[in-house]
Amino acid sequence: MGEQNLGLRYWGRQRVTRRRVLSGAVAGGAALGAVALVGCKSDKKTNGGGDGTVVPPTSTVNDGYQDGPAQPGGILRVRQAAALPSMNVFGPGIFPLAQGLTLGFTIFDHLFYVPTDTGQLELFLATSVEQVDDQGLEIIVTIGDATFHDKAPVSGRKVLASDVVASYLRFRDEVPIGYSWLHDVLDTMEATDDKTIRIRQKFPWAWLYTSSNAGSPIFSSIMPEEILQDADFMQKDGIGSGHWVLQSHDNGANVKFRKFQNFRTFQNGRDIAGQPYMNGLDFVFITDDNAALAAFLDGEVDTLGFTSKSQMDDVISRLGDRIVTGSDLARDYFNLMLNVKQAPMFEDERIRRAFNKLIDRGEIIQLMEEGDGVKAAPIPPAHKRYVLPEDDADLVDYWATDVAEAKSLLDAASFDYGQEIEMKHSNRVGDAELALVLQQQLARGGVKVRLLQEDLVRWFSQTLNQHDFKMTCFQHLAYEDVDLPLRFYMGADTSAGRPSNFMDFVDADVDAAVLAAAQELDEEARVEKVLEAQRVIMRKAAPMFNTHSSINFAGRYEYLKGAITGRGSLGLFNRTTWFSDEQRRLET
Amino acid sequence: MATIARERVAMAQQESWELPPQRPWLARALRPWLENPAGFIGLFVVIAFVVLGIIGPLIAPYDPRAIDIGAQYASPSWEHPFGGTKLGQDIFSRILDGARLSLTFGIAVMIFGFIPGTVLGIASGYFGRWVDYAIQRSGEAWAAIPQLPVLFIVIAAIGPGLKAVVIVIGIGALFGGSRLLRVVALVEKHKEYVFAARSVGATEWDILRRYIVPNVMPFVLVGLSSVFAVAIIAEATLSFLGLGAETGTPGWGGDLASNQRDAIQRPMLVLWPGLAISIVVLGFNLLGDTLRDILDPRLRGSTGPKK
Amino acid sequence: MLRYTMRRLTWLPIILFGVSLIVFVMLRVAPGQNPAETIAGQGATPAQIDRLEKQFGLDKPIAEQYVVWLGDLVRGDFGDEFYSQKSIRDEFIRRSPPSFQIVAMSLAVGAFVGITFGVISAIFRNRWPDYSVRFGAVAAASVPEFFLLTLLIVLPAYFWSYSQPVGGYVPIYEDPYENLRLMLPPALIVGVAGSAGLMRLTRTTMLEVLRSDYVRTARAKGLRSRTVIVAHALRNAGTPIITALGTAFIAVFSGSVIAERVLSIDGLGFWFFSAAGLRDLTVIQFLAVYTAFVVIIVNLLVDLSYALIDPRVRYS
Repeated sequence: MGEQNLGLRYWGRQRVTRRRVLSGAVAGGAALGAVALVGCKSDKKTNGGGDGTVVPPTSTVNDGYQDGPAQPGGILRVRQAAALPSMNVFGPGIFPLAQGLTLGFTIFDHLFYVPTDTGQLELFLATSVEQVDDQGLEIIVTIGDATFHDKAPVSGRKVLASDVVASYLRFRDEVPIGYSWLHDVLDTMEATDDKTIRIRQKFPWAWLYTSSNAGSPIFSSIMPEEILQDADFMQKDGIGSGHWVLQSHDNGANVKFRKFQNFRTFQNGRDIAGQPYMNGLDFVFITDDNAALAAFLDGEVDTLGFTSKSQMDDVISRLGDRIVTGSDLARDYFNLMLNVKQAPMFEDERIRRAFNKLIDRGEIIQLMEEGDGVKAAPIPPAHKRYVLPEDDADLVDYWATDVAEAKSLLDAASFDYGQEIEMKHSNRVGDAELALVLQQQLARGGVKVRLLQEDLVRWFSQTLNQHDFKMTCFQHLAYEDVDLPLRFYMGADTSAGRPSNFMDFVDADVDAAVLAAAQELDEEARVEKVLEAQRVIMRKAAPMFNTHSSINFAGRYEYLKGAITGRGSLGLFNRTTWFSDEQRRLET
Repeated sequence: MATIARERVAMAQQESWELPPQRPWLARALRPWLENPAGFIGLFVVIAFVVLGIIGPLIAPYDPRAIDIGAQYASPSWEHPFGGTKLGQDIFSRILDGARLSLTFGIAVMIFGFIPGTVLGIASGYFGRWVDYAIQRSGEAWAAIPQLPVLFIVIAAIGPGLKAVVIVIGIGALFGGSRLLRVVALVEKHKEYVFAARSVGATEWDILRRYIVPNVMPFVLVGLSSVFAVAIIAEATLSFLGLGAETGTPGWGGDLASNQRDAIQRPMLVLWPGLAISIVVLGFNLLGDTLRDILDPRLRGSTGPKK
Repeated sequence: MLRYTMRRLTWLPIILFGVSLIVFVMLRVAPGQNPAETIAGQGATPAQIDRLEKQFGLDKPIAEQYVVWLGDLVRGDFGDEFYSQKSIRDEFIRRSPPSFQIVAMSLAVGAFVGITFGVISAIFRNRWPDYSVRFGAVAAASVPEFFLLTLLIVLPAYFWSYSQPVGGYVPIYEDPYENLRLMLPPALIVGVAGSAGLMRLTRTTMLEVLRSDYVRTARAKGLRSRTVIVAHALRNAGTPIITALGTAFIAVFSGSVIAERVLSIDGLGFWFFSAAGLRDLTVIQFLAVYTAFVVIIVNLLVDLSYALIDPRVRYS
């Protein structure tokens, strides 16, 4: 995929120039783990058609595009909208997304990654990946030379295969989640010598290497074995072998990273030497969006995700060509979720269907995104290959708003109109707005909804993860592949003592369809199966109704140069090679 | 006998107030206000606030919660006098409806906190002794504690929402009311007419009911102004912080918080609710000050609204 | 004086004990969640929850939990945050400087503004400076701090694309300019808002003092009016003014919490706020006791300073 292909269209509305796309990637860096909890419209990514699939273990390389000559140095300042609840990637107990993503992108290294644009396996620490059999049941991974950060007690020793294995297995023990590769597909993983890892799977898994699976920015973070053993240590600051060394933080706020001088030498000589280019990365803790905008206007942060196109236009009128702006379709997506255990009435398919019929996705997009958004099916629209055609009968029915039909469905199910259903939502701006709009839309069908706002961390750890809600609505993270968006609908096997999906919704047909897609190794056939799985989900009115993805707008100061684009949402994780021309910044 | 006492009371009052008896009632009532334009403005604002709080939802042109694509970020116009929010809600209607939230909240604090407080205050001022001591010491202790941390503690215990705010602000109003009324009752108790009444054989209950209570009533109004000012600010602050009224409830603090995201492009979005709170609280404070000045010049400026 | 101080200080642990007991019981008895479940997170097995309950001692009766917690507290072990498992003491030490600074600066601003304008108002009684100051005092008490602080961010950005700094706190000894750029504007807002009571009281007290015989005597002696006001009147007005300083401290304390929240200053106030939203019980318990401690000490200092400023006051 060359430079030309980077000129992705911004969803049919405007052509995105190369310059614009680049800025998108810059803002992607701003996202940097922010994605999860930080709440800014963060991750910018492209609409490449690829997916992570089992591919022959070649290493195709795409060095991306650089906007201006590389000048090492400079410290990038990005906004951080929420303090990380802890610096421990394992928790404590909270599904370690926020800190996991932030640290996973920065201080930890990974074996490999599948960028969404190319769909090709790309090697990081791994130097080769060999599939022993056709089914990919046994895989041999060899790793290259790398050292950990020079901090006690590891003090810059070499990264060993046993560290990698210990990291994966520790995540498996520590983080119980629903149906996942780590828990349900992975059979054994062992280090056969210092450089070699053998992975055995219970059954074939199509998305093996992707970010939802073995290439997860969180679960594949490589840590020193000895500190993994020490539970206390993990509550202190992490040590990894990634691009950045964690320098300081104020209990998760104002995190500062500095360049790791001994970052692994890249294999095959294919990478631009001297990465990372910047000397450091500073998070500036700014909770409120308007304060973040003010900070950007005054040059206190270098990049910003705007709240809307009109805001971007306003900023352009103020700052002119001092900034570069861009836009992109978000990979993250909003949804309304019902829990069938907390509210058994949702066991009734008619009621679920009626709720979906009351959702007016067009209105939501207009109100929340000022029109700059795209309706979402079970797979969000950014995953172009897997998007159902707009004239698909099931999709048309799924998206169609029909208050009259909803009412007759509710009547047929003898829905209790007198009750007031509680909808919990986090205090993230988008979540709260969606809750308000949904409350009004559901009211059109006579459904009374009471809103309950919760602190984001509490909502996430308590309400969502404990399935303690009747209704909730929120923005999903930006997933790199379609595996996770589909798996959310799976009613997992709960015999292992791990939870089912957030909705506690179990449907044999849905489960079968999702698994069939995930275990189909042939790419063409799999696309079809993913489409079919979506149809099944929609027909069953599975109680996670995706509403839309927004189009993100972002800007950066022009003194920031260089970026790799087209590599999915995981900016820095994906070795985005930007740097800051510090001298220019100081002059500006 | 009581009649005689009452006449004496009336005379005593007239003397101490130095009001020329020949002036008509209306002029007498208006004179202090005309001398205090600030108080007059305060009274006007407060009356307007109470009226809007009651009839606001009736005259609001739109449902304050209704979303409307057509009114998204609408500029001020005849259809939307204050413009529209991001979700196309009519700001004017929300401001009107927010008055009801503030008023309801103030009334809740009044009923659960202030009114019991006044009763307690009068009782402790009049009867004194250990009840008085206990109430006053607790009141002092409470006044020494910043209220926001107390609110945080209560919210941590029972969860966010206006219930927590009513409890904390209500307790504050309870002590505030009792302190104010205690002083007033104490002063009244030692007035001549009370001695006179007692000397002609009125029981304690009679005195309390017939003389003390009617005479301290104006001071109740002073306390009420201050209670409303404090309550409105507290509710708005907690809602602004996201710990008060539930999401989407039209309310000034909550609206300011949800509108601030767009405020750098459209400052009016935060100015409307902010000004609404400021003006109403200012009205209550001005009214309270003026009432106090009129009732007792010696108290002038000695106690003020406290946040 | 010393004995009085000692006697007051002996009350300190008793009051703190009471506060800690009330808060502890309130937080544990209130229906909410099992903190261990919260921490254990998604899909924790009962065994994991049991383990955490043991780790935090949540399996024991409330009374025992309280005794253990109090014992640790007395020994200087404030426990860990429920959510992050960070040592509360470390967090407290880290978060204190910005909070102390903002409270101290606001109080200084409030005291200066309150006393200065109170005196001006008294001197120009019933003339326009008096009216303006009195109106200003009412207005300052009426406009909510969070509104002004929001405007502090919005208006400069709207008009001049200037940003009131938010977030990063730099100690004043490291970079005085950056520090003051962050701290001074909110301190002005919080301080002025907290000064209203002080202003009124200064005015009232000064009016009384100015009417007194000794001031009239001083004037009659032909002393310059500045000397009269500063040396005679203000000194004698000191006692009530100090009381009002205590009240101003309370207003400023609450105001600084809001300032920290709006300006993303990650200090004690922000901690208190977010712990309330998270219902992080250990943090709330600790901060409640801490707040009570500060309030008691401030009140003691206020009482003691009476004696310093007014020789007529003797504590025994």
